[in-house]
Amino acid sequence: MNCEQSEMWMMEALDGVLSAPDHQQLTLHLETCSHCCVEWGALNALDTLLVHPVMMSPAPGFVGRVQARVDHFEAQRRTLLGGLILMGAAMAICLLAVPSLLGGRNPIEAYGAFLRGVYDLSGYIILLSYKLALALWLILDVLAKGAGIPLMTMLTYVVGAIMAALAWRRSLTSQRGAAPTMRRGS
Amino acid sequence: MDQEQRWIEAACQGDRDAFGHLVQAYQRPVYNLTYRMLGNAQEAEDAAQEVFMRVYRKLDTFDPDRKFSTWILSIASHYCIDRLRKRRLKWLSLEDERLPPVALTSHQPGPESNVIQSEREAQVQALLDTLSADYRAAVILHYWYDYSYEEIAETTGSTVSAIKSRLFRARRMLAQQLQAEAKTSTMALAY
Repeated sequence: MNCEQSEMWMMEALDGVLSAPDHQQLTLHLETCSHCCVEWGALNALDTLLVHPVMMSPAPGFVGRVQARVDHFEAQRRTLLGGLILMGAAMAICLLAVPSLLGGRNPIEAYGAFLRGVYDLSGYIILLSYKLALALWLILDVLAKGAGIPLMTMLTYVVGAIMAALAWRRSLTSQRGAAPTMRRGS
Repeated sequence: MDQEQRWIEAACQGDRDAFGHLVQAYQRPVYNLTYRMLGNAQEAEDAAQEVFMRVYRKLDTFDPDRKFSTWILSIASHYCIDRLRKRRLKWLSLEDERLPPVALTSHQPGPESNVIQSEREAQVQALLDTLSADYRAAVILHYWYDYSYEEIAETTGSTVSAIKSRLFRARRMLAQQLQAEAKTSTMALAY
């Protein structure tokens, strides 16, 4: 038997699942191998340390603190639901008021005109964004040519700087939790 | 239907008293796991509270064919493993209120035995702190909860062979660590 096998058998012996013949072979190996013998002693010492583990209990009032968190969570949920309902009602009222604001026209026509207006506005916003992006690209191109470096290299530096700034900001704020935890005495 | 099953069903219907009974029943196993995983009472308290909040939010997804204890400890171990992986060095204010851990009191009388027990507990926790999150979870579930390899695999979402391998390596590492500590203390005594 080699030491690798004996190590596995030591674990099985600690779990109480090693058969008697295998146990005998392990014992014989331990008598001849000082390294395994020392390891067996260490594993037994560990098992003795952990054989009667102590179960830790939380500080008194733990159930109350959890219940308080549950109450807080439910209150937040009710507030959110109430807010959504209120917003929905407000939107419904606004939509109902649109025809009268448009001078009493047919509601379907009025909504159609309204939706066409929204569509046209979206188109203008997209066009404006495109023009702004093009302008930014031209500015970067001029700057890159002036600095004598390729545009893609400059873009890589800019993107890298933005990501580093975001990562630094995230590391500063990463420890702020969303829900409050209740401390003893609160 | 047993009592626990009734509480679970009632809690799913929104009965907060029933949920309170579940918290009462499982506060010690959950807190012990979070304490052993995270190594300090304050974090363990926060983590245990968060575990129960997750249980509360996910209670309707609980499969009654599974053991509730396995399910809740699975949530706890996954949360603690994630937390350990995200852990960064924190500056702790000296004014922070630290909750002391409350252990089961020993039946042995006398302060000497309490001191010995505290030292033993500190040694056990220091040994656990040397393990990675996955190894630590396997050791805790094996020794503190007497889980089989299959149960540990189910709780941690791993395979039986992976758990056997983790426990094997973890025990070896802990035994070597214990050996090294014993040598250090022997040398210290010699001087």
